[in-house]
Amino acid sequence: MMFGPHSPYIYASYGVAAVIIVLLIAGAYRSRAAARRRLTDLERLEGGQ
Amino acid sequence: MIAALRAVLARELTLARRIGAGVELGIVFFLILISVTPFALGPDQKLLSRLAPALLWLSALLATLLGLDRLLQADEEDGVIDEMMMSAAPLELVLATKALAHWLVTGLPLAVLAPLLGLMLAISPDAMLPLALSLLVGTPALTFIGLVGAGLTVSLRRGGLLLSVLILPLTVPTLIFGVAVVREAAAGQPFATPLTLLGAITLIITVVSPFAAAAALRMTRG
Amino acid sequence: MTDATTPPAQGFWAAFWSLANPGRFMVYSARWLPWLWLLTGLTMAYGLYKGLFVAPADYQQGESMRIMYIHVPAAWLGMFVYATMTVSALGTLVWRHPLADVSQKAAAPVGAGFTVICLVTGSFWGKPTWGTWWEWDARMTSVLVLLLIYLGIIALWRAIDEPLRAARAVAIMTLVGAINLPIIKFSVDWWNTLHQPASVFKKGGPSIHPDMLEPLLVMGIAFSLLFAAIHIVRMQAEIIDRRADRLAQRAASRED
Repeated sequence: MMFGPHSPYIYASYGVAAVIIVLLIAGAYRSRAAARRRLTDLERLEGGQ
Repeated sequence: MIAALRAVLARELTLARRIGAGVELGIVFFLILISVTPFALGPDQKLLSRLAPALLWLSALLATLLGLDRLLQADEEDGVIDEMMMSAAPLELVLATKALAHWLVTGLPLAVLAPLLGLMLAISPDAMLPLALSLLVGTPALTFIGLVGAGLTVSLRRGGLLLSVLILPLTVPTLIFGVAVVREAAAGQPFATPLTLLGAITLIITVVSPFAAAAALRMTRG
Repeated sequence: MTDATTPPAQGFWAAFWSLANPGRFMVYSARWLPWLWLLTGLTMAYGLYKGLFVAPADYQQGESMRIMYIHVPAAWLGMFVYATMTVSALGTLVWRHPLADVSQKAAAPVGAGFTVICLVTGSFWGKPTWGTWWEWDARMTSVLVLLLIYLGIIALWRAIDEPLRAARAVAIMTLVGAINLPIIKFSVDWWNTLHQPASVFKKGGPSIHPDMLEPLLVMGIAFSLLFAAIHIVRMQAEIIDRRADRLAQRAASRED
């Protein structure tokens, strides 16, 4: 079965777009996770006082 | 209020002369840029002549850009900005006057001298007066756009680089129409359209910029 | 935000201002975010399927025309995200909306990302069609200038430490950019007609075939939903970061 259009330029374009989008999503979730970790660390410090 | 503004203008011009960042330095910088470009491009007269409008305008842009971060930084360091905010004239007008002074010392001399420097780049004689005209009309836009950048970056270290990054994209229309005036004139075509558009841009920017710069100073200083 | 003497606003504005509370925003966004992702995935899948497999190839450009289904929506999003930043900037300066700062900061890198996608895919579209990796046509040039403005704004965010001052400075810069963008677009179009009459990217025009229009619009919606989802996650991250900053400040001041 033919897997869609076969131009290398299409692969490259859609590939680059996919990479950038994945980076944006991953970056967003990673920064949120880091912020949450930072908050819980500080809250634990606070609680320990 | 007029007296206050006149005092600002006088102070700016005196300071410029005293610290040697006056008319002469801008002119020398302009001259050096134009002298250096043929080393990069080669002495081919026809090539230089074709590129002359662009090179002259780019050099004017760079020459304007270089003094901009000092437009407000020195005053910030000396506490003059607080005084400006309390002066009889509204901050917007004070800033506009400072920008005007900057232009008188930078843009105006460039506009006057450019045709002479254009001769070094084999510019077409038809284009010499339109060149001066385009710079006369267009360089205020560059200075006033720079005013906004100066207002935003006034308290930052290495603010000059960030200032350039912020305002260079905004100078694209001025560059497009300014060069177009000279190129059309060199080709013997009418250049009223780009000149008018250039004038419109300068008008819009000189009106909007002092408000944006004043807002930047008011809202971002500690 | 409302005191006892002001009557609660009705309907839409009530909802709007109720979200103004960062705590409320965190609760609502946490609830709706999974559904938003689901919707994004579905529209994206549908759009990609239609664009890559179902829509007809261009008889002149062949299959590589399909790049348009990423390139054009990316351009749209580059502008839409800037519009979002502009509204947020007004929120910061005029209405002092507490989430406006957060919204501005969260949006900028995403908008820059979409413009990069637009430029790169445009380059890949141009090569097989016109033989060059870069064309200074009106759209590509305008998007390039837009990217430069985004990068300047991101640089300004990083240059100022204090979040409140940074937000106001960026808001002013965003508004100045917003005023200039139509002027820039106009001047670039004008400049382009002087130098090059032909444009690689005509296919985005009104004469477009309906079979090609549908995937285009669907991808536009998919990208918009994608932006909304990423934007919300980044806003959540920023709100949490600011809570952490406040805690850190309190801890530091207690140590004296």
